[in-house]
Amino acid sequence: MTNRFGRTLAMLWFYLTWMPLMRYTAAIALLALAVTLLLGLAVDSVWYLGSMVASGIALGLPLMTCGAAFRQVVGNMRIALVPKAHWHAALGLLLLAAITVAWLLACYLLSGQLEHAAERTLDPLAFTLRSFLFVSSGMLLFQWLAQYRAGYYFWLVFPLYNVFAPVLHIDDHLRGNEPVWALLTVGLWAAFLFAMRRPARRRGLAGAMAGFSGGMACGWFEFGSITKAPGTLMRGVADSTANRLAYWLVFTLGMPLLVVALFTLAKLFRPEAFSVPQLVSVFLLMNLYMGAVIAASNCEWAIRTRLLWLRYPGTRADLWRYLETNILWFLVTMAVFSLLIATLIHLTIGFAPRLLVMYVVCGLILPALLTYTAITFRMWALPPLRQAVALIAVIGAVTATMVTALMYRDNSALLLAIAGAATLVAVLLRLRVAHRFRRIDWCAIRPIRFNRNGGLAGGFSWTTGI
Amino acid sequence: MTDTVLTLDNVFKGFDGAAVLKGISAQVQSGEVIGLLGINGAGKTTLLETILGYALPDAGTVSLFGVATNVLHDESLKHRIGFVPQRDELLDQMTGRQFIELVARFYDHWNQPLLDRLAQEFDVPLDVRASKLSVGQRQKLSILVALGHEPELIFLDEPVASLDPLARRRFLQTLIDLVAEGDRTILFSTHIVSDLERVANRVWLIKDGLLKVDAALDELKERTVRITLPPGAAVSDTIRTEETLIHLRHEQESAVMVFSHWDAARHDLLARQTNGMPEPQHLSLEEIFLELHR
Repeated sequence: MTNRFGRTLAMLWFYLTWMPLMRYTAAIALLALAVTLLLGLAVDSVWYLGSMVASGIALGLPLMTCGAAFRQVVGNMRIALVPKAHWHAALGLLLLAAITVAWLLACYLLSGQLEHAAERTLDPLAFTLRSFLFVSSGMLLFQWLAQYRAGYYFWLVFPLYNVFAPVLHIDDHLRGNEPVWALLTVGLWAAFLFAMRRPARRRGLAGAMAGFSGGMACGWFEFGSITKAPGTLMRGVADSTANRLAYWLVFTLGMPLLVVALFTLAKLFRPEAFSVPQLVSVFLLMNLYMGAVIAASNCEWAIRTRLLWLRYPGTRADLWRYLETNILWFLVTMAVFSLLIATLIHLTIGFAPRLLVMYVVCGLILPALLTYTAITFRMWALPPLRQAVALIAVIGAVTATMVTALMYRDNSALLLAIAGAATLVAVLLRLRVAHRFRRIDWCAIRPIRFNRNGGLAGGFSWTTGI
Repeated sequence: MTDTVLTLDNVFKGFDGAAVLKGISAQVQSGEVIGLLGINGAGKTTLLETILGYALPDAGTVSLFGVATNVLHDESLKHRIGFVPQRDELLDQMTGRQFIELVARFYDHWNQPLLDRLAQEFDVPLDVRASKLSVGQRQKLSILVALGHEPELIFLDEPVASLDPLARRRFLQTLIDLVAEGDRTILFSTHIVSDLERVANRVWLIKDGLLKVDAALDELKERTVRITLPPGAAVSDTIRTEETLIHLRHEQESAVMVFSHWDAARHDLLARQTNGMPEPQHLSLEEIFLELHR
């Protein structure tokens, strides 16, 4: 028994120490939790917003990355040879989820005891169960997603539920009925562990992992195809139009909804928290952010044009034109997508039209900026870590400015200034990159190669290339 | 009458300030099979990718079929070229058959029966996703894909590095057959000197960014000799400064010399200098390679 428990602990330690993705995740999550703790000392409004964002990161990041880490671990043949390795890997993950939630709860309670205890009506049991369900079900669904396309769509159910349950008063039936939450969590884990009983090889997990390995633009999905040969070679099968639709649904709708769902957890602290306009603003911001990140992943297209060089008619300039046509089509489609969302929101809840216009403008400009920024980094072959840090800095700067702008009502001038500056930078980068493309040494900058054990999954490999 | 299919004119190429190719000039005639040798990092891949236009030379020019590769745009010219990169560029999600069908769409001419035959000979499972193939199988598939349009000029960057001996032998035989069937030109890099010896009729050897050897294989083996002097025999300054002396060392009490261009004049010179009859020992290609890198 001790030995089995020891193996689970060893697996947990392995997650946290061996895998770079998990190391970064753990470091960022711990930092976020520390911020939560410190914010307890701040004034109420700052604590409220800050702790929500920090805890969102602390819960959301492991949720996104643990599934990928799990697949990488169980797909590693050497680890798979250890008896019942997948069980221990799953249990290690469960332990990780429990530790994350317990740590978060401790931070909340401690920070609450410092300054805000009297103002909050936190029910620790309800909070713990709901958070645990949130984290663990997210982890599990991410694990299954690699194998089942339907899983990605099913995954949308959870954030949708969290967002709309309070509106539809579903929560009222469950409030005070914590065992239901607990049963749901246990049920999910039991189903997952039951599925794990089948050997990985028969279950086809290793095969699914190979397809998952790439990150957002290169291998999350295994369906669909691009019918034209140049497009398929340059974009890869994983980047087919059907896959792009799935990216949009999951990452530009699902992720923002997930964040909004996290914010609804705040209602456990204070029922009047977060008005609908505030939640819509959060959704729109996250939607823009995710759209921009997905657009940035197109930088890999620029590198993959290498595969067309000896096959496609034309010079390097012709190749660049072909590449840019693909990029522009993508950007325009993203903008149309933003327009549809804005229209829908305006028609259903009558959200401020001025903000929605800015949202659509940003929906075109931000992806363009991030696309050309990412291509620039790849074209100059910056070291992976520097690429990641620079890109995160760009995204962070843009996001921080937009958050500041959206938090205050009279923000048109600021947002216009941001949009103008972003457009200017995007145009300058585009000129630089187009020139560089004519001189690039493809032998120095190769397409990212994904190893068969899964690589660095989870959406970051498009920039780190590790 | 043979045509010049490739011309390298004083080509320089470097990365991040480090020179990799330092002025390479050569010509390749139609129908030649050239083996490119060099130690790791010698610049073989850089040379191949510069020839093909994947990298642009810092100085000098590279022409394929008379057209500079940096402005190569004509589809009909590009389609006369086949390339097997060192790292395969297959799409993991596709089966071999799907990938072949995909690549075939680029070309007006595609010899599918040839590929089917080669796939059978090489034992490549075409209905398995590339992600599930072994490294060797992926390499074989890459070779098949590069040969489908029956290119006149074929570049292979260490094509046999991951192949087992049986597959290597079959692959080399395929190369020989391809050359015998049509007027094809092949330039391939490898570390396996014995393979090169079996197939190539000309050898390029890169060392320190320079093309140290550019010669017909038979001629190279004929003219490169090793001479071991009797114990105690002195090596005069005349011999030491002889320009064709590529290596001089002492083993036990004997001086061992390797000459790159051995002929009667040098034979006489050595005989006079050492007061004896030198006994030249002809070397295998592998020995020549090792002597050049001592």
